[in-house]
Order: sequence, then structure tokens, then C-alpha cells
Amino acid sequence: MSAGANTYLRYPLTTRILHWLAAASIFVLLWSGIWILNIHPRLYWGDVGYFGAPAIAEIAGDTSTDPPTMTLKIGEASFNVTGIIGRVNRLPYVRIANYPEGFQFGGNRALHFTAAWVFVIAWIYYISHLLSSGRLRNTWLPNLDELKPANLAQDILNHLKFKRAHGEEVKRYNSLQKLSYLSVMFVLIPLIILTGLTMSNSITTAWPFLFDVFGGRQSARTLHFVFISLLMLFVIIHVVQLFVAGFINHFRSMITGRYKLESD
Amino acid sequence: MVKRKFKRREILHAALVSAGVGGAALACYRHPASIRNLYDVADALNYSVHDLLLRGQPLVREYSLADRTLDFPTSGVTSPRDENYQRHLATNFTGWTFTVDGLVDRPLSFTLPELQSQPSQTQITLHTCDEGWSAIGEWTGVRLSHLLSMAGVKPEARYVVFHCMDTQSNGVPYYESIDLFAANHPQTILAYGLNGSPVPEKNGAPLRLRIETQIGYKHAKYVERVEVVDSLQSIYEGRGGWWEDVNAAVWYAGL
Repeated sequence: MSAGANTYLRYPLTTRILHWLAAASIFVLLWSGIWILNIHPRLYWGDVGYFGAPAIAEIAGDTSTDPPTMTLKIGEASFNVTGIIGRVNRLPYVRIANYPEGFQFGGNRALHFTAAWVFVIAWIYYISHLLSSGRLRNTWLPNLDELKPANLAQDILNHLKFKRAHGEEVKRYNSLQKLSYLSVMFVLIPLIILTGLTMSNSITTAWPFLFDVFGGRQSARTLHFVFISLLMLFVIIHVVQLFVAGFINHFRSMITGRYKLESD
Repeated sequence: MVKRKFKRREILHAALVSAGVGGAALACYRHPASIRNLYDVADALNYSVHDLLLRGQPLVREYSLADRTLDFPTSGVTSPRDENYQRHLATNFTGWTFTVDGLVDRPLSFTLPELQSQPSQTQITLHTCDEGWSAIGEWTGVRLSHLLSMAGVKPEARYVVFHCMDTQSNGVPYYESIDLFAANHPQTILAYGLNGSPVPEKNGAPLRLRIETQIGYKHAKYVERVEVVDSLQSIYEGRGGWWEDVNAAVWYAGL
């Protein structure tokens, strides 16, 4: 069998470039974001929050022990996270990714803003590409049949059984896939961008209604963290699905654009 | 027909990309410090885009007396080690003077009571630190724009530099800078009062900057001199502030 005959163009070049640009910038944003959060590892609601004010969640350090004991507190619950996450000598500490040599908090913030520009430009470009190329209508939007409860139930069942698509089915996204892509692209990412912007003094000076939309400056910071966590959940499921559906074929198709159809 | 449509889209695409690249180039040209890397490009973009949003000088939200954080939190230096500063603190800043100089027609000098006799302004605003915390304070002081118009800013002036009394870990005193547009914002004040009392030592006694459209480290504490300049490049390391010089912090800190 010749490879050329059995493949089709699954992803246009624009989609592939923007996908990897988004992936890279999300990685950098997550990386730099962890350090920003860890310099003040407490989450609040409203406009005000500081060491001494009540927090919804926090990583509390007890420096009377050596090494300091770190406790993650969420509401009434508390977990010992010493050596996993917290702060050491006023610098953030995360076991899986310790801060780099010569870590600069200011430079780290600059990195976050730089990656944010790349991410936002890629997102805007992606949205306009989806709309102008017809890709949104042709491949992303579910039709009415796909939204029928019976079809959705079947799709949920297929996912729970880790059932792979076969034949011509692989050429189109299933309804859950369509709904998750749509909600990430048009709901979650805008919320992440807007809660990030609500942490900017200049932006809230120009657009004070953002404080009202998200419940205050600290609420926006907390929600930014919650929405990022949801995006990370999407990324994890996205990668797991890749393995379920055939990692090499899908991974390659997002690089070369071509997807290899199964020979029956 | 199809061919014409395709062409039109390509032209639109090229126009948008050129506008973006041109805008970024213009933003880099406007940036006060040299552009060394992608971080500086992002800083320049932040500066110009935020300037566009703030072009009408909108006011920041003000809060009520009940919202105030009475024991106001702080970051950075909380007690300058400098002997000169500690002597002034011990004598309630009686022999202390504050100056406005640089590219001005009439350099000014004030004692603390002289500064307090200038028209005053009180505002209850949200202070946000780049570390992530925020608190609400009632700040009383004199508008920077009032002092600048008293001194008469020369036409070639572009930035205002705040020289501080607290020497940092590397032996250099703290300093910060903003552009004249931000300096002339109606809520940009040099504050000598916090929550109805003199500004405490940890919060920058006797005088600190309030630049409400920007984040914490721009709000220089322990200010003793305001210098009006046309360029920031010859001041210390040339990045426009102490954190900018030593820690790669962004100069435009509206975010």
C-alpha cells in the first residue's frame, strides 16, 4: 500500500502553525505563572488580599522547622506539602520544576507578558482563520442531529469505553470533541484572557466594569487560576485522547498535515 | 470570481500583518529603554497599547472609608538603613527638604510643612503589588501635575524620575520613572498621608509616589527628589528603575 494514496489533508498549514504556537505559549505561560503564583501562594475573593487577610486557599509555611513545613489549606481542609510545593528563602519552590538558576521575579513576569502576547495573537488569528476559512462551520460546529440526546449519550459511552473511530468516521470530529473545542476556544480562553487583564491596573482604569464582572481584583486572580486549571484538564484529556485514537498518526498529522487512513 | 476574492483576502492579510509589524516598530521606538530582546518588545507593546486605552486620562475607581486596610501591607525596603534617613526620621523630617529639578524653568525646594501647605488631594484606592497582594488605602498628598506646572516643564522633557533615600542591597538608591503623561494623571500624587496619619516608615515616610494606573514597585517610597529628564538611558543602568535595572522588571508596569 502506498502512503500517499491512503492519506488525506487533515490540518491546513495555518492550523498546524497556530496549534504549536499556542501549545508553546501555553507551556511558557504555565511555567512562568507557577512562579508568579508561588511568590504569594494565597487566593482570595473580592478586591483585597494580603498576608494577614483571610484566604480561600493558601500554602502556609512554618519556618520554625528545618526545612520549613509547608501546608496547603483549602477552606477547612489542610494537606502537608513540604518538599512538593511552597516557598524557600522567599523564593518559590515546586518539586517538579524548581526555579532556574539566577531566577528573577521581574524577568519572570516579563516572560509571562511576552508569552501572553504570542498566545493572544495566535488565538485571535485562529478565531479569524476558523471564521474566514469556513473551518468553523465545516468541521467545528455540530449539526442538529449530533446534538440529539441519543447521539450525545452514544458519544459519551464511546469515550468511556475508549472506543476508537473507524473508517470515514475518523475524518470528522465527534460531537463531544466539537463541543469541547468550541467551549475552550470561545469561552475558556476568553475568560483566561479577561481575568488576566483584570489584574492590570491600567486596563481596569480604562475598563472598570471588569472588576464588577469578576467580583474584584483578587477574585479575578483566583478565577484566572481556576480557568487555567480547567484548561490544563482539557490539555491532559486532549493528550490522553491522542493515545486512545492513535498517537503517531494524530501527532504526525498536526506536523505534516496528513492523516493516514486505516486500510480495511 | 474566485480568483478575485482570494486576492482581496491576501491584500487584507498583508495589510493587517504590516499594520501589526509597523505598530510594534513604532511602540519599540517610543520605549524609553533600548530594545534588547523579545521581553522589551512586549514591554513596548504594553506601554503603547495601555497609553491608547488611557488617552482620555480616566480615573481609577475610588473606595469608601470602611474599605480601607488599616495596617497597610508592604514589600521591599521597610526601614532604610541609611543614617541620613534615620536621622530625618528621628527628627520628624524637620530639616528635610524635597526638590524638583532637571528640565524645568524654576527648580523647587520644599520643607515637609511647605509641601503640606500646597493644595492637597485625598483618594481611597486599591494598591496592587506585582507579588499578587492588594490593599485599599486612603492617600493624601499633592498632585504631581501641580508641582510640575509650578516648576515649569521644558518642552524637551519626557520623563519624571523619582530619587529615593533608601539604599538597596547593591549599594544603589531606589529610583523609579514614569512618562509625563502618567505624571500628569489627576490621581498621580506625592503622598504624605496614609489613612489619616503621616505615611508610616514601612510605607515610605515622609513622601511616596502614588501612580494609581500602575503596579506597586512604580510607587517609589522615601522620595526626596523629582528630576525631569528627556531620556532615561544615562540614569543608573538606563532601564528606568531599580527593579528594571537589577531584576529585568518591565518598565511599563500598568500590568
